[in-house]
Amino acid sequence: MFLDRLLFDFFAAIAAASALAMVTRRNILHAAILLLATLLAIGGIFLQLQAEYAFAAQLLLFAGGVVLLFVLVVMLLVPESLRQDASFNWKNYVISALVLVALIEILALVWARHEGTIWPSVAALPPNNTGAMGDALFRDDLLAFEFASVPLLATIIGVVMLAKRRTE
Amino acid sequence: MIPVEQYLVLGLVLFLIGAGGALLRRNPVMILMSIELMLAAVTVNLIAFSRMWGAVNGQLFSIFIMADAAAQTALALGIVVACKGWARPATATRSEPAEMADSADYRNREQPVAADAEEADSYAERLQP
Repeated sequence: MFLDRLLFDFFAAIAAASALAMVTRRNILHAAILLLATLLAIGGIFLQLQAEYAFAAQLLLFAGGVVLLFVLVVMLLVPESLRQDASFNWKNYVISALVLVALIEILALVWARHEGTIWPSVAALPPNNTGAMGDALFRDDLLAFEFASVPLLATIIGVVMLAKRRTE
Repeated sequence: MIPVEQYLVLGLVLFLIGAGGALLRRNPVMILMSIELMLAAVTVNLIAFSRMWGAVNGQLFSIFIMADAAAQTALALGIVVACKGWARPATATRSEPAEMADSADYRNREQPVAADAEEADSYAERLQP
């Protein structure tokens, strides 16, 4: 499908470019905005994969919540002089080179074995796949859903402890 | 249809960029942002698999990852702020550990640009007896 290809290329290019710009930016606030762009582009790819609920959650949780948290913390609590993070030396170039080599190696492996996998022609996603997710989440995988609340509870307790220690 | 490898390659590229950022950057906030990027890269893979098999389980996993990522960010930022004492103005009078001051990296570091002059002055005034 031409449209699929167009959407995927568009969002993938935005995601990769802004991710690369994010990790090389010196100003933390600029990096946070570029992280937002990356996450929005990834959300576009979710939509292209017919994952509407994951798209909405990506917008609300990652783009809305997490990036907002970063921006607020940086703007309210980090003094101006510490918002620049400039520390490049030879170690950084060695690590970048290693990461680059790993990337090229894995890409070469994928390309060498590339035979144009077709999507398996098992049943496609149900059209109402948010409803199917609700069924799975609250009936089949209820235990996992309940256990997901454990880290959230731990986070709440931890944050309250930190806040108490700061105000005392 | 777009072959599933291309989604996996996209996830891999994003993950490696995030991993490189987490290893390279020194600023704790930047490290946390890179970790967020790595988590988001993993969700791309999961949702591509969900589409590939026509099952919603991959999307469920991605929802759990998002919930954990949000919780982790909130807690980690709280710890970073609490440990760094960033609420105080940064001054040049901070004493550095001896082994740091001796290393070549530290001596060759770039000086922070435009340290808040006013903030530092008022802090210094408050320090006066």
